[in-house]
Amino acid sequence: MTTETDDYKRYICKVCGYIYDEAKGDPDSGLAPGTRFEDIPDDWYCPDCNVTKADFSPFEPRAESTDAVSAASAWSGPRGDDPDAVVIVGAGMSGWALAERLREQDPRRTIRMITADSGDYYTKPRLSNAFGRETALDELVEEGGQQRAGRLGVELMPFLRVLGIDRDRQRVITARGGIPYGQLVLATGARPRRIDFPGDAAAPLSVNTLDDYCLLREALEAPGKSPAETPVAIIGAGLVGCELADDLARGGFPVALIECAEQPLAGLLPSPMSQDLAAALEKSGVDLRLGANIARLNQGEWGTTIELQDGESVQAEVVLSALGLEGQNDIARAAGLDCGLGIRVNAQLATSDASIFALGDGCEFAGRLRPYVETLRDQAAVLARTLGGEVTEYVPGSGTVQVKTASLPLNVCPPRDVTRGTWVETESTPSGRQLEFHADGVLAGFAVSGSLARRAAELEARLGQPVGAERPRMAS
Amino acid sequence: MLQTRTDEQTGVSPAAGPADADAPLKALVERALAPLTARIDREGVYPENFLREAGRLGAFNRHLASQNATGTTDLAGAIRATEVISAECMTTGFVAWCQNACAWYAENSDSDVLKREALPKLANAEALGATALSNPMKWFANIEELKLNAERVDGGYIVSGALPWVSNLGEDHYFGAIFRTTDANPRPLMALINCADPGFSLTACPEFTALEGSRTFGCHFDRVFVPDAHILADPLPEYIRRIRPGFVLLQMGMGLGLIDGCIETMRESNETLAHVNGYLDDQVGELEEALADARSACYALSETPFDDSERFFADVLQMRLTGSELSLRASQSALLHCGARGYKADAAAQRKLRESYFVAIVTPAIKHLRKELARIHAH
Repeated sequence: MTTETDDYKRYICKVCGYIYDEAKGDPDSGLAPGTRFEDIPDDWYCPDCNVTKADFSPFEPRAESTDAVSAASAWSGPRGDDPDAVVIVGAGMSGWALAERLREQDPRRTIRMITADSGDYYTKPRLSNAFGRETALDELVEEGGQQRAGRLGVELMPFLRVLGIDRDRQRVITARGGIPYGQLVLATGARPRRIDFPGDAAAPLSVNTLDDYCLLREALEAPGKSPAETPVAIIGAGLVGCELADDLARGGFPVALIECAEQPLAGLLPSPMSQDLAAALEKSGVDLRLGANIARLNQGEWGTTIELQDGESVQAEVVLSALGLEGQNDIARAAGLDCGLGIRVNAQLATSDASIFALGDGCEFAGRLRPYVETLRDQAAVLARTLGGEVTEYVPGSGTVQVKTASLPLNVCPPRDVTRGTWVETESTPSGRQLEFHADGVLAGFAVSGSLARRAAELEARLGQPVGAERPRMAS
Repeated sequence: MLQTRTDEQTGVSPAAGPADADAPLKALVERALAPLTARIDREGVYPENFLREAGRLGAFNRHLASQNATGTTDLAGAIRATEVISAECMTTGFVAWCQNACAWYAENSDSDVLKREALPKLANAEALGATALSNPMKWFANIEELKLNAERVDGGYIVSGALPWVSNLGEDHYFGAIFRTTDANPRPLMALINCADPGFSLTACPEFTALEGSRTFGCHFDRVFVPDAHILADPLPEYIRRIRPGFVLLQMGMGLGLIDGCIETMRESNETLAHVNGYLDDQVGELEEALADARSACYALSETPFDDSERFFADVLQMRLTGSELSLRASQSALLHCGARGYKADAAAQRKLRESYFVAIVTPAIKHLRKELARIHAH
């Protein structure tokens, strides 16, 4: 049996959210408890905002709750501030490598990481060969940021941008509050160098982070066409340009690689190796436009028309810019730290402020950037010791660069001074080549390709040793 | 030339607080506002004379490049002025923000008529202004429906509907409102409304727990005609992207000033109670440090008010959230520092406690901010 009181209804004021409950009525306005909504006179007003009955609608309570239990604390600043904390800005490979080494060494020290992105861990070089290896997007993240932070005992502050560094008070300034540091490490990395080309086309994409790479994937898939119908143009045949061109070509995309120099990777490779790489890229279907300068990027009927200065043009659905890297040092510069190409560091990787250090792609050691994985791993190991109290100096390794073009893998150890010595070809097979750089009778650099690429370790061990007089042939 | 500037060495603008530029405003607050603070809070006295005088002093034109002597958008300066006021009385700080926001809408609009007729008066508080964007802000965040509708007529729109509570209103005050058109091209539009417009009426609100002197009313639109020249923006989305960082950052003046006032209250209380206040969680030193951090961050964000990227707006929302959280911490600590003396009905500490909850619930409220941050960062 149901009583009349069981079906009392509630009505909500659409203007202010006041709820009229028939069970309770509105005694202040003369409506006794139990007054049905339809029995309320028309001259009754909402007690909170004075609108009439017409602005009420039946009230259904919402069932849904918030998305996540952790929603509340996700955006709060740190508590229990530790003034001796190591604070790492940046959660790329360098930041994470350092956190890992620090934790190995000291299980208790407070380590905080601030990153503008999610902090998810991925290795940047894999972005250059994901198509060839058929790596799905979600496989690129090797470990979630919070998971990795939990495993290493690191306090990760994701989606947080550093707005300044207050060096006097040793605080990192963010919108989530100030974060005190005992020692601060800038692992802010490098960003793609950009050129604003004339023309009305949208700015080209570039690939420097996983987020960038996701945008590239979206752009490639957006037209809903097959790869063969989605032409891509890449501006700049440096390391990233060559690797991506090769990878996308392997993924079935028609790729044009546009470079103002006469050879791909001309700044890194000895000339015969450059020519081999050019041939390999063309063999995998890359349309190489060498010695080509861009006049304009125009919005075409579909995609972009790239007009070259020689009058030719290239049509592309997706345009990528790969014009090299520059140190991301805005924060350091604004804080008054000594910066050149990157954040300048000494042998202890300290900046011009003894409490602030830098490592990885964004730091400048001995006058140059070394945006390579080998460098950041070495630097992380050294810096972890220094931060632990055992001052250790960073000595750059051989500087061997891996070029992950699957069509022709290369390992190159460029000589420090290319004017003091000569490239000598010591072996040439149909599947690979070995060149050595001889300076004053010792091995000062090398380049190995294809099937010989795996000799890099062996050659690294010989660096600085006298070279025999056997079978030298001038390479170029 | 031995002077060195510490801001150049550290890269952070001085966070010591309102600079000397604010000395005249501070003096005015001391003279004309402080004696009224308790009555504004408890009796609903509206600080109209103070607002007019502060306007003549240039407290509300700092962020209006077209209306101030420097020709710059000095958002940080506008925030500092609101801080100075809020440190004494946050009801007045709140209506100062309303004034700033209303003028900000006109300054950034495409309407020459409004820029000519309303903006100069809003900039010096000859006219007073408000912002009725709480509902649309929640609408943008999928929290509420738009409450005003408009039909197209010759030369303008006829607007109908009601908004529950809008502050800093009066018989001839301006305010910015957003309504949805019901014509063939239904879209949201924003206009500057004057309370004297025919068909518009104000009704009293229920009594609130604080901010009683903010002249908060229910707004009723009964076929109010809005001429095309009073439309602030059409299309709206691009305009909203332009004004929203400033809109939210300007609110920071309330929280930062309140926190400053709480620290001052704590310091006073420590003159007699330091020996026992030392057992409390949030000490003067900690809160001072946190306030300096928040000011540095807020002024840094204020340097690029027209950055319309989602990423920057996320920083702004995060800043606003930090301001709310810190306000709650500071006011709670202020009351605990003062003890029973702070609990008296006319004590500053309990008033600041109630004011701090307003910082935390006024749109965008803490829950709204966290919801938006979660959305933006979800990718």
